[in-house]
Amino acid sequence: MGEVTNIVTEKLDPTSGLYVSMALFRNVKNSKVIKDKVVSGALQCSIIKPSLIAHPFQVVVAANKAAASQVFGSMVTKSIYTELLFNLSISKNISQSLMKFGINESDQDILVATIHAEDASNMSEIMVQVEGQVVPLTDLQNICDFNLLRKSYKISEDELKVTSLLDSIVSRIATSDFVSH
Amino acid sequence: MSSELEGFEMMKQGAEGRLFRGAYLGKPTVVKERFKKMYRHPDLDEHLTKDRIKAEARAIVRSKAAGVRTPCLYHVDFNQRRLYMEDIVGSVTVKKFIKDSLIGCSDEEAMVKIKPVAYEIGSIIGRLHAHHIIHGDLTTSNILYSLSESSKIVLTLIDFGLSHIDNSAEDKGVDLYVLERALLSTHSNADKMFPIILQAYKKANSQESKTILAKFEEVRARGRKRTMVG
Ligand SMILES: Nc1ncnc2c1ncn2[C@@H]1O[C@H](COP(=O)(O)OP(=O)(O)O)[C@@H](O)[C@H]1O
Ligand SMILES: [Mg+2]
Repeated sequence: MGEVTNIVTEKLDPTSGLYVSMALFRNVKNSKVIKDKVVSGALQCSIIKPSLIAHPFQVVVAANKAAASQVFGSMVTKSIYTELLFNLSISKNISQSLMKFGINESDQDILVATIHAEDASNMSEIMVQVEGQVVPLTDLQNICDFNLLRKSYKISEDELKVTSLLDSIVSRIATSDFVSH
Repeated sequence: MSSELEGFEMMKQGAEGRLFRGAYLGKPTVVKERFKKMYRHPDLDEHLTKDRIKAEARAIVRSKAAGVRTPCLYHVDFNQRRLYMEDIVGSVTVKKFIKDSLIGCSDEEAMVKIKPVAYEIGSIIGRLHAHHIIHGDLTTSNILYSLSESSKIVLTLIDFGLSHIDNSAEDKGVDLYVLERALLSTHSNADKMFPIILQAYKKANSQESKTILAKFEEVRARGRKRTMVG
Protein backbone atom coordinates (compact mmCIF):
# COMPACT_ATOMS: atom_id res chain seq x y z
CA MET A 1 0.00 0.00 0.00
CA GLY A 2 1.17 3.50 -0.77
CA GLU A 3 1.30 5.94 2.12
CA VAL A 4 1.57 9.74 2.06
CA THR A 5 0.93 11.76 5.23
CA ASN A 6 -1.46 9.27 6.78
CA ILE A 7 -3.35 8.56 3.55
CA VAL A 8 -3.19 4.93 2.45
CA THR A 9 -3.78 4.19 -1.24
CA GLU A 10 -4.20 0.81 -2.92
CA LYS A 11 -4.67 -0.10 -6.58
CA LEU A 12 -7.95 -1.91 -7.29
CA ASP A 13 -8.66 -4.52 -9.98
CA PRO A 14 -6.84 -3.37 -13.15
CA THR A 15 -10.07 -3.86 -15.15
CA SER A 16 -11.49 -0.84 -13.30
CA GLY A 17 -8.42 1.41 -13.56
CA LEU A 18 -9.35 2.70 -10.10
CA TYR A 19 -7.64 3.24 -6.74
CA VAL A 20 -8.94 3.53 -3.19
CA SER A 21 -7.53 6.03 -0.69
CA MET A 22 -8.28 6.07 3.02
CA ALA A 23 -7.76 8.46 5.91
CA LEU A 24 -8.69 8.10 9.57
CA PHE A 25 -9.89 11.03 11.69
CA ARG A 26 -10.32 11.27 15.46
CA ASN A 27 -11.98 13.86 17.70
CA VAL A 28 -14.13 15.00 14.81
CA LYS A 29 -16.38 17.93 15.75
CA ASN A 30 -18.52 18.21 12.60
CA SER A 31 -19.58 14.65 11.81
CA LYS A 32 -23.17 15.74 11.11
CA VAL A 33 -22.07 18.33 8.54
CA ILE A 34 -19.79 15.80 6.83
CA LYS A 35 -22.45 13.15 6.81
CA ASP A 36 -25.02 15.53 5.32
CA LYS A 37 -22.59 16.54 2.57
CA VAL A 38 -21.88 12.90 1.73
CA VAL A 39 -25.58 12.04 1.64
CA SER A 40 -26.34 15.04 -0.62
CA GLY A 41 -23.43 14.14 -2.90
CA ALA A 42 -21.54 17.37 -2.20
CA LEU A 43 -18.67 15.24 -0.88
CA GLN A 44 -17.71 12.19 -2.95
CA CYS A 45 -16.55 9.52 -0.49
CA SER A 46 -17.67 6.77 1.89
CA ILE A 47 -17.62 7.58 5.56
CA ILE A 48 -17.18 4.45 7.61
CA LYS A 49 -17.49 3.58 11.28
CA PRO A 50 -13.91 2.59 12.25
CA SER A 51 -15.00 0.43 15.19
CA LEU A 52 -16.13 -2.09 12.54
CA ILE A 53 -12.90 -2.04 10.55
CA ALA A 54 -10.14 -4.46 11.59
CA HIS A 55 -7.62 -3.28 8.97
CA PRO A 56 -7.54 -1.03 5.86
CA PHE A 57 -7.47 -4.17 3.69
CA GLN A 58 -11.06 -4.86 4.73
CA VAL A 59 -12.05 -1.59 3.03
CA VAL A 60 -9.81 -2.34 0.02
CA VAL A 61 -11.66 -5.61 -0.66
CA ALA A 62 -15.09 -3.96 -0.32
CA ALA A 63 -13.99 -1.06 -2.57
CA ASN A 64 -12.61 -3.50 -5.13
CA LYS A 65 -15.90 -5.34 -5.26
CA ALA A 66 -17.72 -2.01 -5.71
CA ALA A 67 -15.36 -0.96 -8.52
CA ALA A 68 -15.81 -4.33 -10.29
CA SER A 69 -19.60 -4.08 -9.96
CA GLN A 70 -19.46 -0.62 -11.52
CA VAL A 71 -17.40 -1.90 -14.47
CA PHE A 72 -19.79 -4.78 -15.11
CA GLY A 73 -22.98 -2.79 -14.40
CA SER A 74 -24.04 -4.93 -11.46
CA MET A 75 -24.17 -2.40 -8.61
CA VAL A 76 -27.15 -2.83 -6.30
CA THR A 77 -27.00 0.63 -4.68
CA LYS A 78 -27.00 4.07 -6.23
CA SER A 79 -23.34 5.05 -6.10
CA ILE A 80 -19.93 3.43 -5.81
CA TYR A 81 -19.71 4.92 -2.29
CA THR A 82 -22.91 3.40 -0.99
CA GLU A 83 -21.88 0.21 -2.77
CA LEU A 84 -18.61 0.16 -0.79
CA LEU A 85 -20.50 0.53 2.51
CA PHE A 86 -23.02 -2.11 1.50
CA ASN A 87 -20.19 -4.49 0.52
CA LEU A 88 -18.68 -4.21 4.00
CA SER A 89 -21.79 -5.88 5.34
CA ILE A 90 -22.70 -9.55 5.01
CA SER A 91 -26.38 -8.67 5.29
CA LYS A 92 -28.47 -8.34 2.12
CA ASN A 93 -30.50 -5.52 3.64
CA ILE A 94 -29.18 -2.33 2.03
CA SER A 95 -30.51 0.37 4.36
CA GLN A 96 -29.52 -1.57 7.49
CA SER A 97 -26.03 -2.18 6.11
CA LEU A 98 -25.52 1.49 5.24
CA MET A 99 -26.64 2.47 8.70
CA LYS A 100 -24.48 -0.09 10.44
CA PHE A 101 -21.22 0.67 8.61
CA GLY A 102 -21.89 4.39 8.13
CA ILE A 103 -21.37 6.89 10.96
CA ASN A 104 -23.76 8.43 13.43
CA GLU A 105 -24.02 12.19 13.68
CA SER A 106 -22.40 12.13 17.11
CA ASP A 107 -19.45 9.87 16.17
CA GLN A 108 -16.02 11.35 16.75
CA ASP A 109 -13.97 8.73 14.89
CA ILE A 110 -14.51 8.49 11.15
CA LEU A 111 -12.78 6.59 8.37
CA VAL A 112 -12.98 8.23 4.93
CA ALA A 113 -12.53 6.24 1.70
CA THR A 114 -12.45 7.68 -1.81
CA ILE A 115 -12.29 5.79 -5.10
CA HIS A 116 -10.50 7.58 -7.92
CA ALA A 117 -8.34 7.38 -11.03
CA GLU A 118 -4.56 7.23 -10.60
CA ASP A 119 -3.18 10.40 -8.93
CA ALA A 120 -6.65 11.96 -8.89
CA SER A 121 -7.72 11.54 -5.27
CA ASN A 122 -10.07 14.14 -3.85
CA MET A 123 -8.92 13.29 -0.32
CA SER A 124 -7.19 16.62 0.30
CA GLU A 125 -10.45 18.43 -0.52
CA ILE A 126 -12.23 16.27 2.06
CA MET A 127 -9.49 16.62 4.65
CA VAL A 128 -9.84 20.41 4.81
CA GLN A 129 -13.54 20.02 5.57
CA VAL A 130 -13.24 17.55 8.45
CA GLU A 131 -12.71 19.33 11.76
CA GLY A 132 -10.66 16.67 13.45
CA GLN A 133 -7.27 15.15 13.77
CA VAL A 134 -5.81 12.92 11.05
CA VAL A 135 -4.14 9.87 12.56
CA PRO A 136 -2.26 6.92 11.01
CA LEU A 137 -4.47 4.08 9.76
CA THR A 138 -2.57 1.76 12.07
CA ASP A 139 -4.65 3.36 14.86
CA LEU A 140 -7.58 1.28 13.56
CA GLN A 141 -6.31 -1.57 15.68
CA ASN A 142 -6.96 0.51 18.81
CA ILE A 143 -10.38 1.71 17.67
CA CYS A 144 -11.85 -1.48 16.25
CA ASP A 145 -14.15 -3.50 18.48
CA PHE A 146 -13.03 -7.12 18.21
CA ASN A 147 -16.16 -8.61 19.76
CA LEU A 148 -18.50 -6.46 17.71
CA LEU A 149 -16.62 -7.48 14.56
CA ARG A 150 -16.81 -11.15 15.45
CA LYS A 151 -20.52 -10.87 16.06
CA SER A 152 -21.23 -8.76 12.99
CA TYR A 153 -19.44 -11.18 10.68
CA LYS A 154 -20.60 -14.27 12.58
CA ILE A 155 -17.12 -15.71 13.14
CA SER A 156 -16.81 -18.66 15.52
CA GLU A 157 -13.94 -19.45 17.87
CA ASP A 158 -13.14 -22.59 15.85
CA GLU A 159 -12.63 -20.45 12.80
CA LEU A 160 -10.23 -18.12 14.61
CA LYS A 161 -8.04 -21.11 15.44
CA VAL A 162 -7.20 -21.51 11.75
CA THR A 163 -7.51 -18.02 10.33
CA SER A 164 -6.96 -14.39 11.28
CA LEU A 165 -9.98 -12.20 11.97
CA LEU A 166 -9.08 -10.09 8.92
CA ASP A 167 -8.88 -13.10 6.57
CA SER A 168 -12.23 -14.39 7.82
CA ILE A 169 -13.87 -11.01 7.30
CA VAL A 170 -12.37 -10.47 3.86
CA SER A 171 -13.41 -13.94 2.62
CA ARG A 172 -16.98 -13.21 3.73
CA ILE A 173 -17.04 -9.81 2.03
CA ALA A 174 -15.80 -11.35 -1.23
CA THR A 175 -18.64 -13.91 -1.20
CA SER A 176 -21.50 -12.18 0.65
CA ASP A 177 -23.78 -11.99 -2.41
CA PHE A 178 -24.06 -15.79 -2.59
CA VAL A 179 -22.93 -17.24 0.77
CA SER A 180 -25.16 -16.85 3.81
CA HIS A 181 -24.08 -17.34 7.41
CA MET B 1 -15.14 -9.71 -21.56
CA SER B 2 -11.84 -10.98 -20.23
CA SER B 3 -8.70 -8.96 -19.65
CA GLU B 4 -5.17 -10.27 -19.40
CA LEU B 5 -3.87 -10.77 -15.89
CA GLU B 6 -1.24 -8.07 -15.92
CA GLY B 7 1.96 -9.07 -14.16
CA PHE B 8 0.75 -12.60 -13.38
CA GLU B 9 2.62 -15.75 -14.26
CA MET B 10 0.88 -18.95 -15.33
CA MET B 11 1.33 -21.79 -12.81
CA LYS B 12 -0.71 -24.55 -14.33
CA GLN B 13 -2.92 -25.30 -17.26
CA GLY B 14 -5.44 -28.02 -16.49
CA ALA B 15 -8.50 -29.51 -18.13
CA GLU B 16 -10.92 -27.13 -16.43
CA GLY B 17 -8.90 -23.95 -16.43
CA ARG B 18 -5.68 -22.16 -15.69
CA LEU B 19 -3.95 -20.99 -12.52
CA PHE B 20 -1.91 -17.82 -12.27
CA ARG B 21 0.30 -16.36 -9.58
CA GLY B 22 0.93 -12.65 -9.00
CA ALA B 23 0.03 -9.60 -6.90
CA TYR B 24 -3.54 -8.37 -6.44
CA LEU B 25 -4.68 -5.61 -4.07
CA GLY B 26 -1.11 -5.69 -2.81
CA LYS B 27 -1.17 -9.36 -1.78
CA PRO B 28 0.49 -12.50 -3.19
CA THR B 29 -2.43 -14.05 -5.03
CA VAL B 30 -3.39 -17.19 -6.93
CA VAL B 31 -6.04 -16.75 -9.61
CA LYS B 32 -8.07 -19.73 -10.71
CA GLU B 33 -9.68 -19.05 -14.07
CA ARG B 34 -12.12 -21.43 -15.68
CA PHE B 35 -12.24 -22.00 -19.44
CA LYS B 36 -15.22 -21.19 -21.60
CA LYS B 37 -16.52 -24.44 -23.02
CA MET B 38 -17.15 -23.75 -26.67
CA TYR B 39 -19.23 -26.91 -27.19
CA ARG B 40 -21.86 -25.63 -24.76
CA HIS B 41 -24.46 -22.98 -25.44
CA PRO B 42 -22.93 -19.71 -24.11
CA ASP B 43 -25.82 -19.05 -21.67
CA LEU B 44 -25.72 -22.58 -20.29
CA ASP B 45 -21.94 -22.44 -20.05
CA GLU B 46 -22.08 -19.15 -18.16
CA HIS B 47 -24.68 -20.55 -15.80
CA LEU B 48 -22.80 -23.80 -15.07
CA THR B 49 -19.47 -22.04 -14.63
CA LYS B 50 -21.03 -19.52 -12.26
CA ASP B 51 -22.47 -22.37 -10.20
CA ARG B 52 -19.10 -24.14 -9.97
CA ILE B 53 -17.30 -20.97 -8.92
CA LYS B 54 -19.98 -20.32 -6.31
CA ALA B 55 -19.70 -23.88 -4.98
CA GLU B 56 -15.93 -23.60 -4.74
CA ALA B 57 -15.99 -20.20 -3.00
CA ARG B 58 -18.79 -21.28 -0.67
CA ALA B 59 -16.91 -24.42 0.41
CA ILE B 60 -13.75 -22.39 1.03
CA VAL B 61 -15.65 -20.03 3.36
CA ARG B 62 -17.67 -22.81 5.04
CA SER B 63 -14.51 -24.82 5.68
CA LYS B 64 -13.02 -21.92 7.62
CA ALA B 65 -16.14 -21.84 9.78
CA ALA B 66 -15.65 -25.59 10.33
CA GLY B 67 -12.11 -24.91 11.58
CA VAL B 68 -10.32 -26.09 8.45
CA ARG B 69 -7.71 -23.79 7.00
CA THR B 70 -8.34 -22.67 3.40
CA PRO B 71 -6.93 -19.78 1.35
CA CYS B 72 -8.37 -16.34 2.08
CA LEU B 73 -10.68 -15.16 -0.73
CA TYR B 74 -9.95 -11.72 -2.15
CA HIS B 75 -12.40 -11.44 -5.02
CA VAL B 76 -14.86 -13.47 -7.08
CA ASP B 77 -15.27 -12.38 -10.70
CA PHE B 78 -18.05 -14.27 -12.48
CA ASN B 79 -17.66 -12.12 -15.60
CA GLN B 80 -14.10 -13.26 -16.13
CA ARG B 81 -14.69 -16.68 -14.48
CA ARG B 82 -12.01 -16.03 -11.88
CA LEU B 83 -11.45 -16.73 -8.21
CA TYR B 84 -8.76 -14.57 -6.55
CA MET B 85 -7.31 -16.16 -3.43
CA GLU B 86 -4.41 -16.00 -1.02
CA ASP B 87 -1.22 -17.58 -2.31
CA ILE B 88 -0.12 -19.99 0.42
CA VAL B 89 3.47 -18.80 0.24
CA GLY B 90 6.13 -21.34 1.15
CA SER B 91 3.80 -24.30 0.83
CA VAL B 92 4.22 -27.55 -1.08
CA THR B 93 1.53 -30.08 -1.90
CA VAL B 94 1.28 -33.00 0.54
CA LYS B 95 2.14 -35.16 -2.47
CA LYS B 96 5.47 -33.38 -2.86
CA PHE B 97 6.03 -33.38 0.90
CA ILE B 98 5.61 -37.17 1.06
CA LYS B 99 7.87 -37.77 -1.96
CA ASP B 100 10.55 -35.42 -0.58
CA SER B 101 10.36 -37.06 2.84
CA LEU B 102 11.36 -40.36 1.26
CA ILE B 103 14.51 -39.05 -0.34
CA GLY B 104 17.64 -40.29 1.37
CA CYS B 105 16.01 -41.89 4.37
CA SER B 106 14.71 -45.24 5.44
CA ASP B 107 11.01 -46.09 5.46
CA GLU B 108 11.02 -45.77 9.25
CA GLU B 109 12.61 -42.34 9.16
CA ALA B 110 10.15 -41.25 6.48
CA MET B 111 7.23 -42.46 8.59
CA VAL B 112 8.38 -40.38 11.54
CA LYS B 113 8.14 -37.30 9.34
CA ILE B 114 4.89 -38.29 7.69
CA LYS B 115 2.93 -39.53 10.73
CA PRO B 116 2.02 -36.11 12.19
CA VAL B 117 0.93 -34.98 8.74
CA ALA B 118 -1.29 -38.05 8.42
CA TYR B 119 -2.87 -37.29 11.77
CA GLU B 120 -3.54 -33.70 10.74
CA ILE B 121 -5.08 -34.83 7.44
CA GLY B 122 -7.51 -37.06 9.33
CA SER B 123 -8.43 -34.23 11.68
CA ILE B 124 -9.24 -31.73 8.96
CA ILE B 125 -11.29 -34.20 6.91
CA GLY B 126 -13.18 -35.15 10.09
CA ARG B 127 -13.99 -31.50 10.83
CA LEU B 128 -15.03 -30.94 7.24
CA HIS B 129 -17.39 -33.90 7.25
CA ALA B 130 -18.79 -33.06 10.68
CA HIS B 131 -19.98 -29.84 9.00
CA HIS B 132 -21.31 -31.78 6.01
CA ILE B 133 -18.79 -30.38 3.55
CA ILE B 134 -17.88 -32.96 0.92
CA HIS B 135 -14.61 -32.06 -0.78
CA GLY B 136 -15.15 -34.18 -3.90
CA ASP B 137 -11.49 -34.43 -4.96
CA LEU B 138 -9.41 -35.32 -1.93
CA THR B 139 -6.04 -35.99 -3.51
CA THR B 140 -2.61 -35.31 -2.02
CA SER B 141 -2.18 -32.45 -4.55
CA ASN B 142 -5.17 -30.67 -3.07
CA ILE B 143 -3.73 -30.39 0.43
CA LEU B 144 -0.91 -27.90 0.95
CA TYR B 145 1.77 -28.42 3.59
CA SER B 146 3.64 -25.57 5.26
CA LEU B 147 5.20 -24.73 8.61
CA SER B 148 4.05 -21.92 10.88
CA GLU B 149 6.47 -19.42 12.44
CA SER B 150 6.63 -21.70 15.47
CA SER B 151 7.39 -24.69 13.17
CA LYS B 152 3.98 -26.26 13.59
CA ILE B 153 2.53 -28.25 10.69
CA VAL B 154 -0.10 -26.24 8.84
CA LEU B 155 -2.30 -27.92 6.26
CA THR B 156 -4.40 -25.82 3.88
CA LEU B 157 -7.15 -27.47 1.90
CA ILE B 158 -7.64 -26.26 -1.69
CA ASP B 159 -9.40 -27.12 -4.97
CA PHE B 160 -13.05 -27.28 -3.92
CA GLY B 161 -14.18 -27.26 -7.56
CA LEU B 162 -16.11 -30.53 -7.08
CA SER B 163 -17.32 -29.89 -3.56
CA HIS B 164 -20.85 -29.72 -2.23
CA ILE B 165 -22.67 -29.44 1.06
CA ASP B 166 -24.44 -32.71 1.90
CA ASN B 167 -25.07 -34.92 4.87
CA SER B 168 -24.46 -38.10 2.89
CA ALA B 169 -22.51 -40.95 4.50
CA GLU B 170 -21.94 -42.37 1.03
CA ASP B 171 -20.32 -39.14 -0.27
CA LYS B 172 -18.18 -38.87 2.85
CA GLY B 173 -17.12 -42.50 2.44
CA VAL B 174 -16.18 -41.78 -1.17
CA ASP B 175 -14.10 -38.76 -0.04
CA LEU B 176 -12.11 -41.11 2.24
CA TYR B 177 -11.78 -43.72 -0.49
CA VAL B 178 -10.47 -41.15 -2.99
CA LEU B 179 -7.92 -40.07 -0.37
CA GLU B 180 -6.79 -43.63 0.24
CA ARG B 181 -6.35 -44.24 -3.50
CA ALA B 182 -4.44 -40.97 -3.85
CA LEU B 183 -2.12 -41.93 -1.00
CA LEU B 184 -1.47 -45.39 -2.43
CA SER B 185 -0.35 -43.83 -5.69
CA THR B 186 1.86 -41.30 -3.88
CA HIS B 187 3.64 -43.42 -1.32
CA SER B 188 4.40 -47.10 -0.82
CA ASN B 189 3.90 -46.72 2.94
CA ALA B 190 0.40 -45.33 2.54
CA ASP B 191 -1.04 -48.43 4.13
CA LYS B 192 0.72 -47.30 7.30
CA MET B 193 -0.51 -43.74 6.94
CA PHE B 194 -4.14 -44.49 6.43
CA PRO B 195 -4.91 -46.03 9.86
CA ILE B 196 -3.47 -42.89 11.46
CA ILE B 197 -5.68 -40.75 9.24
CA LEU B 198 -8.74 -42.79 10.22
CA GLN B 199 -7.85 -42.61 13.90
CA ALA B 200 -7.76 -38.80 13.76
CA TYR B 201 -10.85 -38.75 11.57
CA LYS B 202 -12.84 -40.72 14.15
CA LYS B 203 -11.83 -38.31 16.86
CA ALA B 204 -12.77 -35.21 14.84
CA ASN B 205 -16.05 -36.60 13.54
CA SER B 206 -16.98 -38.95 16.39
CA GLN B 207 -20.74 -38.71 15.97
CA GLU B 208 -20.89 -40.07 12.46
CA SER B 209 -17.65 -41.97 12.06
CA LYS B 210 -19.18 -45.43 12.52
CA THR B 211 -21.70 -45.03 9.70
CA ILE B 212 -19.21 -43.32 7.44
CA LEU B 213 -16.47 -45.90 7.98
CA ALA B 214 -18.96 -48.65 7.19
CA LYS B 215 -19.80 -46.82 3.96
CA PHE B 216 -16.12 -46.38 3.26
CA GLU B 217 -15.56 -50.16 3.60
CA GLU B 218 -18.46 -50.73 1.22
CA VAL B 219 -17.12 -48.29 -1.37
CA ARG B 220 -13.68 -49.84 -1.03
CA ALA B 221 -15.05 -53.38 -1.53
CA ARG B 222 -16.89 -52.23 -4.65
CA GLY B 223 -13.72 -50.57 -5.90
CA ARG B 224 -11.70 -53.73 -5.30
CA LYS B 225 -14.23 -55.85 -7.14
CA ARG B 226 -14.10 -53.40 -10.02
CA THR B 227 -10.28 -53.59 -10.23
CA MET B 228 -10.36 -57.39 -10.09
CA VAL B 229 -12.95 -57.65 -12.85
CA GLY B 230 -11.64 -54.73 -14.94
N1 LIG C 1 -3.91 -20.87 -2.91
C1 LIG C 1 -2.85 -21.54 -3.37
N2 LIG C 1 -1.61 -21.31 -2.85
C2 LIG C 1 -0.53 -21.99 -3.31
N3 LIG C 1 -0.59 -22.91 -4.29
C3 LIG C 1 -1.79 -23.18 -4.86
C4 LIG C 1 -2.97 -22.51 -4.42
N4 LIG C 1 -4.01 -22.97 -5.14
C5 LIG C 1 -3.51 -23.87 -5.99
N5 LIG C 1 -2.17 -24.02 -5.83
C6 LIG C 1 -1.27 -24.93 -6.58
O1 LIG C 1 -1.84 -25.15 -7.87
C7 LIG C 1 -2.20 -26.52 -8.05
C8 LIG C 1 -3.51 -26.64 -8.79
O2 LIG C 1 -4.55 -25.95 -8.11
P1 LIG C 1 -6.00 -26.61 -7.92
O3 LIG C 1 -6.88 -25.63 -7.24
O4 LIG C 1 -5.83 -27.94 -7.27
O5 LIG C 1 -6.49 -26.73 -9.43
P2 LIG C 1 -6.78 -28.01 -10.37
O6 LIG C 1 -8.26 -28.08 -10.47
O7 LIG C 1 -6.12 -27.66 -11.67
O8 LIG C 1 -6.19 -29.22 -9.70
C9 LIG C 1 -2.25 -27.10 -6.63
O9 LIG C 1 -1.99 -28.49 -6.62
C10 LIG C 1 -1.17 -26.30 -5.92
O10 LIG C 1 0.10 -26.83 -6.20
MG1 LIG D 1 -6.12 -29.90 -7.78
